[in-house]
Amino acid sequence: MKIDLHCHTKCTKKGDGIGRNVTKELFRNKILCSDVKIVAITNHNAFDYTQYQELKLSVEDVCQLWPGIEIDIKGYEDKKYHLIVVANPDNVEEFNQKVALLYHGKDIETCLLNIEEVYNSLNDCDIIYIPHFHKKPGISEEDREKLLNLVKDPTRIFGETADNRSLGVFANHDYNVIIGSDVKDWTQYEQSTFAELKLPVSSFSQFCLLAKRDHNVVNTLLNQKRSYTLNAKPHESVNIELTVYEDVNIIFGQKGTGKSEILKTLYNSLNEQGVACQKYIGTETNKDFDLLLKTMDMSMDVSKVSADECEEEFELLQSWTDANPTLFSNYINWYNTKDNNRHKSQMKITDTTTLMEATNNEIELFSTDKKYIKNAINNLEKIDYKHYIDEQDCKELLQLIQILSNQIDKKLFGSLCEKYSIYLTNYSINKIKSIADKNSNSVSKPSTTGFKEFVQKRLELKKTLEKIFDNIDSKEYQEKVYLGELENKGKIYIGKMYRMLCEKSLANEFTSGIRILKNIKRKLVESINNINNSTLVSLLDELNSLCKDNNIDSTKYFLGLSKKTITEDGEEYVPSNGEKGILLLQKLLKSDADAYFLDEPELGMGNSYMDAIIRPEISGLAKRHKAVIIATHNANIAVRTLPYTSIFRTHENGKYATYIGNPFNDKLINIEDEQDVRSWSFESLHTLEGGREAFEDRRNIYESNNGRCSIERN
Amino acid sequence: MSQITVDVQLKEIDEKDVLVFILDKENPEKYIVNLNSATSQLELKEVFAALLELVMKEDVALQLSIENGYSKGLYKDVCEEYIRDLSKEIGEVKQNITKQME
Repeated sequence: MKIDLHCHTKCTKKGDGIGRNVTKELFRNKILCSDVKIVAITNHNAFDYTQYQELKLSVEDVCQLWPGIEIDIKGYEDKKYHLIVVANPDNVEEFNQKVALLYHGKDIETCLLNIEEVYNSLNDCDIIYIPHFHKKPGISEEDREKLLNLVKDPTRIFGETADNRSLGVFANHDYNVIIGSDVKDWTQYEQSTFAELKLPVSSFSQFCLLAKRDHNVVNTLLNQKRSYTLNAKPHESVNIELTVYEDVNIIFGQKGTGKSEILKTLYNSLNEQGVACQKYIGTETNKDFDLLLKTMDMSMDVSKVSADECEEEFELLQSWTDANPTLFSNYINWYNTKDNNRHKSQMKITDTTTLMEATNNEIELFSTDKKYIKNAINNLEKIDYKHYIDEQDCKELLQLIQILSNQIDKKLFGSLCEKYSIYLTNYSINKIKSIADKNSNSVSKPSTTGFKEFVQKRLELKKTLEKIFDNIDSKEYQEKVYLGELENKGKIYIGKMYRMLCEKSLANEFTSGIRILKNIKRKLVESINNINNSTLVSLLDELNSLCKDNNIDSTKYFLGLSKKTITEDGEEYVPSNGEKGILLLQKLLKSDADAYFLDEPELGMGNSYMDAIIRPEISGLAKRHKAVIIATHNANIAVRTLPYTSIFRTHENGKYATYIGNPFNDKLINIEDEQDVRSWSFESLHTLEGGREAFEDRRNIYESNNGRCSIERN
Repeated sequence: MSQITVDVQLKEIDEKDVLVFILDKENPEKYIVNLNSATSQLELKEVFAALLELVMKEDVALQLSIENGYSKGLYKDVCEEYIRDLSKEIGEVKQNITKQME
């Protein structure tokens, strides 16, 4: 909708060209050509009531005409600026008289008024003020401040920029700006620059309402609201097409008119377009809150509790076998045959025993250290030392690191040599014995009694069992995620608990049965305690069977996951049903999405809470170009958010109908019959407030009780 | 850490040649290895388990004694050799455990 709030219709001062004079015929013609829907007549230092009436009559079927004047103001340090003053057309007679009084006895060619006298004279006429802003002769910062202090309501002050480009820049910085034609030649009026209102308005008051809602009343390149045309189904057999905007969109109407279904299908439709949507359903808060406390979003990540999954260790348990002692009969056989062959008797190596194998502990330690030093050297090479230390220090540092690296290599090499020399020695002894036995038809002395291997295997098993136990014992980690704030309770969080199986663990924390897990843990402890016992093998068999039968092959199954609502100091707090709704709604409004769908958000919540907390949140989302679609019976939400679009559903005489409109044009138009137009104000009052009578009654009761309430409060 | 000497007796019980490891003084005949039996390996394993428990705590040495009147030369010689080897292995194990504990 095009609007021109700076329009000259006559040459009133010397500087005005005669091109500014316009006849009613030319005026109508040009208004039609330019498609401007609102024009304010703002001649220099004069208001011609007769001309205003004449022109108004000529365009009344196509355009609104508002009375105004462009005044020369003497500002800060006597600097002149132009101020356009536009009045509510309902007050045009009063405005006319006051302008006449203001200029009485003054020469309009030369007179400069001060802002106070203008304000005092005209403000009662319901005024909007539009000083030239970064446009000559423009208002200074000091005068802008002064004007603001006088008018108090910033939504009543706009700045007129010199061109569209400046308009865009200032609007993007949240300045209240507008542009007018400032027409100099009526024959070319349609070529002027016009501001485009974001939403059509049907009156001066609605223009002010729009300004109150949104700093930027006009469209700029960046602040244009995108819209989505979506399919909605109030009933599965009914399909309607609705347009929702990146702003507040309200669905209202009597109960049973399919509002929730419309909201649901709009949500599905927008979701299908790949737009990130969030949904809140007032009747499902309990269910949704329970869902919030489910642990599906928590992973069985044992690193959260600084534990290891121990998958290798679980595999080792399954494959572990005990070492058996060498048969005593092997010694007897050796003794019986040892003198069978003279040459073999001399071959004393066949009487030797094997060496005890070295453990891998040292090799593991030195290998890890080697990895660390290698990484450290790689990282150090990336630093340009010259920036920090001198060449000598740098040289010494590198030398020391090299020494350390060499020592680690040396130790690792030594350990590896020891391990493999023992391995080769034992291999050689056994091989020689085997060959000698075959060739001499005798039995060599057993290489070992079996005790070394027995101990070695048991100690390895103990280490494995202890590692698993250490990783599942008494480890926990807590996270808290902000959920919202409750009056008197403060901030509420979702406390996420990652806890390895312990005394306090509950069955629902685990995917595997808690009894099985406890049993496994008990068997682990028993096995560790009986590592030197001959019952170990049967204990281990039971442990392995339990793990295998229940697919437990990692410590992650012992990680319990749980969630609860907690206060700032970590105490559990179970919210009431109403509080659950409040928290869910706060969470939803704080979450990042492009579109938010709220179905009866007011359910279970106080009206003051909805108005004081939720309504500003919704308006904030709209300012950030988010689409907010709300099905509601709450007047504060449906009316005080000043919705961009209102979708009104009716069910009358057995017929359902859908109307679209907004508070700015005060219309609700039937989407199936453009001639069927209802008043947005009337329907809102009727549906949301119970009608004018109920609304007025309430107001009267509140007002009549006001004094008494104050006394009682005091 | 003190050193414990475990007595190991070679004798004949019920016409069977046995090695008795005196690991439990209150029940000296708890650990008996029947040298004539095929199950001697299991009996030895019991002995190993008890020895391991002891080795974890103390330095252990084995001392073989042959019962008066026992006359089977083969068993005497083999047992002497066996106990010598087992003692050696106990020493190595102890050394290894000590190293790991450091």
